[in-house]
Amino acid sequence: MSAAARLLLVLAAVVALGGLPSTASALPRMTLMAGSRCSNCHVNPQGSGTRTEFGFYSMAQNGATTWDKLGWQAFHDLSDNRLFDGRLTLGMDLRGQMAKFGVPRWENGVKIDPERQVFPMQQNLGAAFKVAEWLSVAATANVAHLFKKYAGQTPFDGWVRIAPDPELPSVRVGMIQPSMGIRHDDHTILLRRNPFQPALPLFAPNWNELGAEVSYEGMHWLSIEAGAFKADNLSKSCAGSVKADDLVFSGRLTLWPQSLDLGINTWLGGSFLKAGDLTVMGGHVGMGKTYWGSLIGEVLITKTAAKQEVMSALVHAAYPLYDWLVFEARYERSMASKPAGTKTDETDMTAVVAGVQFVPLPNVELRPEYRLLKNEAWTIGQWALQLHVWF
Amino acid sequence: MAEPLAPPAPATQPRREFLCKFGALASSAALVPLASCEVSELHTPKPAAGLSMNFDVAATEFKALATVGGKAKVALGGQDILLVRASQAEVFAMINACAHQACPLDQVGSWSEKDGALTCGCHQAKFAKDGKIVSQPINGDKITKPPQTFKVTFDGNKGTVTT
Ligand code: FES
Repeated sequence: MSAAARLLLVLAAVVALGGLPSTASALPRMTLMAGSRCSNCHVNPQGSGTRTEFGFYSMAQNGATTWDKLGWQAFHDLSDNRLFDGRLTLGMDLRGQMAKFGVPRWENGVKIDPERQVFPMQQNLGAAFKVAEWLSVAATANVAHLFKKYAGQTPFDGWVRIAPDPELPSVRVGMIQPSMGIRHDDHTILLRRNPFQPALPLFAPNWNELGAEVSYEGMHWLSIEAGAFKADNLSKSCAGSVKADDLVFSGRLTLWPQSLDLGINTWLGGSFLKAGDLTVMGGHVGMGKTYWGSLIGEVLITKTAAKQEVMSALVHAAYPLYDWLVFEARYERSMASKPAGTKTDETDMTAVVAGVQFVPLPNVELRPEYRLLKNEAWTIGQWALQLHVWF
Repeated sequence: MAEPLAPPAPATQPRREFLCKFGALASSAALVPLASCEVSELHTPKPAAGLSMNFDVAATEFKALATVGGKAKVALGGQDILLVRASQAEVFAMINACAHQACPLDQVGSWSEKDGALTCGCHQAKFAKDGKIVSQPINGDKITKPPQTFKVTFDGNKGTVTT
């Protein structure tokens, strides 16, 4: 089948699944297309942030052109992110976007439209140090926190990791994001928001809590994470349901069936999170093949103190026309019962995002997107542009 | 430990190269029509002015207003209005959508009589009962237009809100 025919097929599948093509973000697709765990490419076993040697090299030559071809060999010399015999690994992730912030509303009889703004997303500087084969420390500072804060977000994460043997469980202790569902590297994912309070994340981008998590990746077909944390930050984004002195308990189990003959990678898993009066249960499934693309599905069911129940679902498809030009589409729907004591029974929100991840040069990505967000009160459709520079 | 497959290597086929260059051009060109596809719609009619509605703290839907800090929401003239019991003697009314990013204040707003301010739980912006912005959201945004407020009369038990 030709590349163009395959592209049409993927788009048709997304249209059939979701109504309209959409795109977006999340790099969980990488594990499906490369057939590799997040921990092979990132220092954080959950993925995201500072890259390992393998993760760094696999992206270092990816681009429509190269710095060399432009005559900027100086950038080519930055082809390693490690110092001191590979003990110190450095990372940087700078993201910004131009988009309309907010939703339309009536004010004194006049319709107010949201204004387009340019603003930072994460501006992460990270480092990891291997103290011994079994002991490492890592930390990331999010400088963007100085300029723009999201309820529940922290300005840094950091942990000590004890990993005695790849076939045994490892433990991380520190400021960590509890493992819950798929970790999307995107602020706009509806699944991680409460559709009833669209400006308020359920789990904020760069959300972390003080605690400990055990991870097991000892068998190629299974991964398990379980952790216990304080709830200081979750209490800010889920104020009505979680108090600062509550504890967060989280767990996730993923099966990774893989067909090496066919080159097909899949995952199938479930997760839960409990903190105070907040209960979240999730299911995730994905399938991918190198050069062919990936298809991801995720469902989260959230129950809050106000007897409000939110069910959210996501379908995400990605098609790599080239390594540096990936078409993505995402459809999300959230349905929430209104909290006890209010009159209307239900509210619901739909998000459709379509775009392209375009890597003109290694370590630089432009992501033009069209985003449509709709609920009972308003509809907003806008184009947005994300810029991502990493090391 | 899972033995990872190699990450996707750059494809080298000339046809693929042609397709991707074409794709890059097409996607940039697609931005132009996208810019003209922007939508910003409200599904509720323009709110009517001069309408009023009575409330009674003895009624079930307003019983939260019996205590200071209690909130209730009413729909009047096509808009959602938040009623807040500010003190023993006073109830004030404000548009129910936060002036920052429209979080519903009946759910995420909390009134402090001591501070004389309603805090929006989404990004902690604070508003006085006359709508004045007491403090800006903690995420660095700046609210320039204060929220719309409405006239309320209240005798300690019953009251009227007017748009
Ligand atoms: S929506 Fe209220 S402070 Fe942001």
